[in-house]
Order: sequence, then C-alpha cells, then structure tokens
Amino acid sequence: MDSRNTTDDAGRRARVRRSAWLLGLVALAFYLGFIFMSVSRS
Amino acid sequence: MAHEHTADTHDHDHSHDDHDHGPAQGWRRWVYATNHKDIGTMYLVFACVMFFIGGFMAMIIRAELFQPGLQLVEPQFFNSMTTMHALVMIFGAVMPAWTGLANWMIPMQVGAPDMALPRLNNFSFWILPFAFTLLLSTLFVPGGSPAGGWTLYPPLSLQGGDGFPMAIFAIHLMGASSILGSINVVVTIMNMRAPGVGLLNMPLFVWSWLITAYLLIATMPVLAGAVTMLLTDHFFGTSFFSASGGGDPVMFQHIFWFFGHPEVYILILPAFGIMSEIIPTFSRKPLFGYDAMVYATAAIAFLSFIVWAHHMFTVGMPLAGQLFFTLSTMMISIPTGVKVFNWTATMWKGSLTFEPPMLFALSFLFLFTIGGFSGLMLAVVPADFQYHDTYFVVAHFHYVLVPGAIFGIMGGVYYWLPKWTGKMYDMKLATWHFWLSAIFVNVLFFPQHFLGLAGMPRRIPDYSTQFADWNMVSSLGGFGFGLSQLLFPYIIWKCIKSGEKAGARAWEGAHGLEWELSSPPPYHSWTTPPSREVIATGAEH
Repeated sequence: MDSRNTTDDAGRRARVRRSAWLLGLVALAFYLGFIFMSVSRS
Repeated sequence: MAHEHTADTHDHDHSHDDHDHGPAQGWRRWVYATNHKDIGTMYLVFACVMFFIGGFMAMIIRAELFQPGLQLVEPQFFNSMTTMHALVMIFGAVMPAWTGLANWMIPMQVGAPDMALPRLNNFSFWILPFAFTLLLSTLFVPGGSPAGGWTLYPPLSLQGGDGFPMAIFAIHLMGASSILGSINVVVTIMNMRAPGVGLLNMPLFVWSWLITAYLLIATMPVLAGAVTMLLTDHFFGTSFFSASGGGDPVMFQHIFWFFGHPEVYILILPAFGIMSEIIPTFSRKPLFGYDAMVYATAAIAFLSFIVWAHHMFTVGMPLAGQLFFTLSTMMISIPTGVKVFNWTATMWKGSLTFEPPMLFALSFLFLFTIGGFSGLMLAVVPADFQYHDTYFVVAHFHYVLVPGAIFGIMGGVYYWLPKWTGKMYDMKLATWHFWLSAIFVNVLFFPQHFLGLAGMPRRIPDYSTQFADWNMVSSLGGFGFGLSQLLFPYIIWKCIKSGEKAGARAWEGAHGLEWELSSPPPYHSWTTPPSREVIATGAEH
C-alpha cells in the first residue's frame, strides 16, 4: 500500500465529508430561512 | 472543492481499494445495496412502477373526460386523481428516473469507482418506497387523498381529511430523499473525478445533473418549509396562510412557486444533458458549442429562480411585478434557444442515423419546443389572464414533461441499455414504441390547446358539450399512449433475457468514458482511474 495514496484517500474522504455537511447546512438554511421569513411577515 | 490529484498520483497500484468482489446474493444485494449500479437499477425500476401507477390514474381521468357528464367516478375522487397523478408522476416517476440515470452514469462518466457516499445513496433510495406507500395509502383513509391539486394551495388543501397529514409527511420524505441524493451527486462530481477529467470536459449529462443537484438543494427545503407551515396551520393553530388569523394565503403561492418553477427545470435539465449525449453520437459529429451549452444550462438554472410569479399573475400584482416576471420568463428562451440551435447545428452535415435513442431525441427537439413556445404565450400577462386554469396550461406543461422529460428518460434508457446489460434490445420493437408514443402523445395533448383556448377549465370531471369532440380525441390518444407504454418494460425484459451481445462501444459514434468500459461494465466502474489516453479517446466530443 502506497503511503501517498493513503494520505490522498484520507484527504479526499475529508473533503467529501466536509462538502456533504456544507450542502446539508445550505439545505437546512433554506428550510428554516423560509419559515423564519414567513413568521416575520405574519 | 475540485480535486487536486495529479496524474502520477494515480499511476500506483490501487489494489487496496479495488473492492472487486461481486454483488451480494439474494435480497441482501438490494436492501443493503451500496453499489451505484444496483441503486441506479432500483431507482429506475421504482420510477417505472410509479410511471404505470401514475399512468393508470391518467387513464381514469381521460376515461371520465371521454364524454360530457359524470360517468365513472365521483367528482371528489376525480380531483384526487388529478392531484395524485401529478404527485406520483413528478416525485415518483420522473425525479427517481433521473436519479437512477445519475447513479448509473455519473461514476462511469467521470472515471470514479462509485458514488462518493454509497450508504447515504442507499438511504436516499429506501426512503422512497415508504414515502409513496404513505402517499398512495391516502386513497384508502376517511376523506380520501388530497384533492386540491398538486400545488396544495390553502385554504382548499387545509380542508382535506385524514390523508392530508399523510401526504405532507410523504412530501417531506420525498424531499429528504431528493436532497440527500443531490448532495451525493454534487460531492461525487466535485471530488471523485479522475485526474484529467476537468470541469469543462465533463459530459454534458454530468454538467446538467450538477446544476440540477444545486437547484434541488436550494428548492426542496423551500417546499418542505411551505408544507410544514401548512401542517402547523392545520394542527397547531398557526395562521401563516389563514387570512382570518392575520396570515396570507397568497404568500403560500409565492413560496410554493419559488420551489415550483426551479422544479420544472429539475425535471427537464437532465433531459437536456441526455440530448447532448445522443445527438452527437447519432450525428457522428462533436457537439456544437460545448462551452455555450454549459453556460446556457447554468443561465437557465439561474433564471428559474426569478420567474416564479408568472404562475400567479391572476392573483394580482403591481404593474412593475407583471413586467419583471414577464420579461424574466421570456429571457429563459435565450439560453434555451442557444441549446436548440446547438443541437441543430450538431446535426448539420452530420452522418445521421435514426436508431431509437435518436428518434426520441429528435422528437424531444420538436415537441419540447412546442411546449416552450406555449410557455412564452403564457408569460404574456393579458394573454395569461385568458389562459390561466384552462386546458391550454395542461397542454403546455404536458408537452414539456411528456415528450420533454419522459422522452428524455426513454431516449437515455435506449441509449445506455446496451451498456448496462451488455445486450442489444429489439430495435424494431423499440422503433414501434417510439412511433406509437410520438403519434399518440400528439393526439392526446395537441387538442388540449384548442380546448383551453375555447375556455375549458382544468381539474373538472364534467364539461360543457361544445368541448366534447376534442375531449374524445384526446382520450383516445391517451388510451393509445398508455397502451403503447407497455412495450417499454417488455423491450427491456426481452433485452435482458435474450438480447444479442453488445460491444463495449455499442453505438458507432459514441464517445465518453462509459464507452471505454466493457458492456456490461464491471461491478465497480473505475477501480483504477482511467489514463489520460483513455480520457482523451473517450472525450473526443
């Protein structure tokens, strides 16, 4: 097993996890944002 | 987020992540599936089942409308059918079919072994059967299933029976499934591309899905927010959309269509991507204007966020609002026109052949454009005041969604089926399937333009006798279209059972990394990333 590959894979895993969480938070922000906007208008 | 690998990083032995085991046996293969092809197959089978369930509902609608008067079903049930037909077709058939195609093709086209998040992929799929069991079971509860239209406008939708909260929960589940699936698509494309597969040489199907996934992440939560507020209005005494409590029912329409219009492009953009794969292959020419196609897709996606109120001109809005939404809607025709021009230019002086995928693509080009033109008519405020809530609107969006999205899916399946199965399907039967579909879809939907222009309202089980003739024609087209779709699963089943062997490059003019893999492809697609030479061969167009 090549150590460079292991580091590379670990780096990619971290990037995958990070971007997945970021996109999930964006989705959550849209969900809560629109409810908040409606609350503040009502 | 783009990957930073260099080519030499991947020249080493990758045996440690080869995972070259085959599939698990029996039910475990499907329930515990993490393989992108298995999950893609499950999505496609699910979509096909939903397509026939939604199609059966359409047959009930067309049977009732075959002649004036109330013949077969109660008005309440008729309204349930129109509502459920839309929900099942949009969320159960078209969207899962695109996700199935994305699952199958994206890893193969970007040189990845699988999707970036395989277990999340499994979860995204397995939410769906529960969501649709819940949605369809509303047909059997007191009060019946939702009957106020798929747009769920309050206050009508709030008057539903026991099916109302079930439908809301089902919509939340579908939304969660779509958001998770989209996150997977974005993360895969941004992080799993093989070295040498740059953003501006990815296949256009991948590009169209990347943009679609961003649209989904931004809009599905908005739908979820809107239906959550409906739920609290119904059960927890809030007044988001209730005028008597200080709320505003029109606000629901704004929020719904902020989701709803991008949703239209969620349904159609992947079809644009597939057209950009099929047309160059059967024209034996590179795609004309690749970069322009990418920018046009992105422009359509951006514009889709600023046109929502054209769905609700008749609720009344300031003149400035009317002008803004008319003009922004008309602007969408510019990038869409770029696409139609580029597909036509790709065919110009090409060596065209007309196998089933190309037939579906050409039909898409003509018929989707008709749907686009009637959309432009609807964007004109004074005209829309006449057309709104008539069968003209029904004709318009069915031209966009049936010969648009559905033909795009069928073209894609006929294009990649030899790759998936390693076998060629019965071309003669598939050509029959195409011609029957193309003829009957026009018999079904074209007369609905006339009905709408003559003033026939949508979502009614009975109508005035002057609409009788075209309704009968439309229903006959509907029965013909419905019956001819039975050929589709039969052709696929026959291909799997007894198709002739297909080569790795099943179509002479096909380019793209997926055609560099064997047919059928290995269980894990690119366990070793493709070399730059392979990428160069595959990406010739």
